[in-house]
Amino acid sequence: MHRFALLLCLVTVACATPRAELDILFPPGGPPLNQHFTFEVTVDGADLVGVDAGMPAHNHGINTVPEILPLGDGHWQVSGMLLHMPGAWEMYFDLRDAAGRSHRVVRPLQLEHGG
Amino acid sequence: MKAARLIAAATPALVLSSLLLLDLAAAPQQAAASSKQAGAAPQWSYQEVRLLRSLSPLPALPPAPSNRFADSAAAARFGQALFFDPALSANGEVACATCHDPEQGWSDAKPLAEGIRQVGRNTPTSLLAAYGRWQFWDGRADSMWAQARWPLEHPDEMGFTRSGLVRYLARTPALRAQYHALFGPLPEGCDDPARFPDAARPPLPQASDPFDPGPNLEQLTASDPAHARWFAMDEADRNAATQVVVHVGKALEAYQRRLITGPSPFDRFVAAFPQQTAEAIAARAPSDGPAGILGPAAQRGLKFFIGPGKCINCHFGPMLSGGEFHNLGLALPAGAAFDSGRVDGIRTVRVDPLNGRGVYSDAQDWDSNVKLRYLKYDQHTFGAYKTPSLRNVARTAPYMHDGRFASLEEVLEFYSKLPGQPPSGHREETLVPLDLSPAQIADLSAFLRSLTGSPVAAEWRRP
Repeated sequence: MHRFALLLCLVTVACATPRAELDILFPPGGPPLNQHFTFEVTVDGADLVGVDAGMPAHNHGINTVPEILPLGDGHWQVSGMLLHMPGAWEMYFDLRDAAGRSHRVVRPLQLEHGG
Repeated sequence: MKAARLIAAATPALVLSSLLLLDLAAAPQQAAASSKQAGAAPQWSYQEVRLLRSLSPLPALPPAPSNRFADSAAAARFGQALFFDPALSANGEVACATCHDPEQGWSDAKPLAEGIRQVGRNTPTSLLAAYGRWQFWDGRADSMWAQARWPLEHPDEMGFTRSGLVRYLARTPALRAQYHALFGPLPEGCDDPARFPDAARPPLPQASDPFDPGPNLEQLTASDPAHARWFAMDEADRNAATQVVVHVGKALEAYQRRLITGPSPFDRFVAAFPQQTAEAIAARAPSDGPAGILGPAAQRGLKFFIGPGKCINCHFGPMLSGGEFHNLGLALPAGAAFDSGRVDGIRTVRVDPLNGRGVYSDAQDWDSNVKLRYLKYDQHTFGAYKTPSLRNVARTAPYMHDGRFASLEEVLEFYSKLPGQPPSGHREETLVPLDLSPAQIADLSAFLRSLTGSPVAAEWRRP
């Protein structure tokens, strides 16, 4: 019974969450370890106004301020990202929609040694 | 370009379940390894060998685009002559090699550097320094040529002056000829003490802080007669003298790019692992490490380093360091001066006229200057210092930014207990006391000693 309630809850959450409102296009080979890199982001129905990253378990962020360049049609180029350690990162994307509402999309990212 | 499409709602559950699977898969191996008797060499899983290969070998030197002389052999020879020359100091007794002594691991075996006077921090080794993204414990230089100016002109280190450097090169025929061949003539008027006085230098760059702008030009001029003489010089002569110290720095960088150690026992151990066959990977069977290179203790230390010790979190990659900045939570000893660490390094490198975006850089393309372009001023960097490379670490005692630990064992005791609290900022949250046994400390120490590479080529080790 409990299991069914949990399943129902998960299905409800999944249906209520907008799908793939944000796509990340990393360079070939994926995000590099401890090197500055540039990547692209595609966003539906909102502007990308900020990009940041952090390691929640370490209580620290990145040592750079990435720059955002609009490429048009919901495509954005992000430069100056530097993930300086291996481990569990979160990437933060701050969006603002046409009505001026802001919200943050958080994407987990596991960075491996030798990456 | 590879698309990384992540579906928001499903991702956390997927990540969690895949992590659980990985843990389950790894568990039997860990149990097998820990059941082995103390004293024996450990076995190595496929995943561990992959981690080892991320640490070795040392790759080729990164390019130094802001210095077009970086890989010139002639510049390196000129830099070598300067590196060992004590005439480049206020008292004629302090050379670069005084603190960066080839016989002391290119450091000085002292807790705090001693030039003209005692300096506030431990001397980092020149070995492999050319691999670093930032120079100094606080990273206040973004190139080795900009780094060289600091000890040269710092009153406590070599205490030399910019005009004094011009005058010394001008009156020393061999150095003048070498300079001319590389960089062209010394500044016009360099023999005239009225234009280039014996001791004139600008103030060192000050960490800029909007709430504490520091001394103004008048105050700085009044603080040191050498500054007063500097500002009395003609602007064109000042710029010409600065160009000379930049050229000298670039020659010193060219020289220090030759201070590269060869493979260490650790590198030979990693290189000797056979390529893993698909069958071995599929079988997930741990295997013995290559025989006859690292003893059992060093192997156990290495296994702990990349495994439960999580040392590899910060000491990763072929340098065994990410070259960035972390706060270990070292308490401030009684009587020691407060040191802000990286946060001042950031504030200083941004305003240094000799940084990579200044007119003296040979890479004027702003787009390619990623280090400074995206550098963040971040309060998290209070009390943080650069993670040093562990290569050759056994040769460079004592340790930490203030040389507080005399031996590798003392450093490991610190990580075992993590005593005290930092005077500023906060200790990196992933640092937890390792609670090491004496045997584990001995193992880790044995591993760290296996990181000593073969010496720098003899031709570069002497004046």
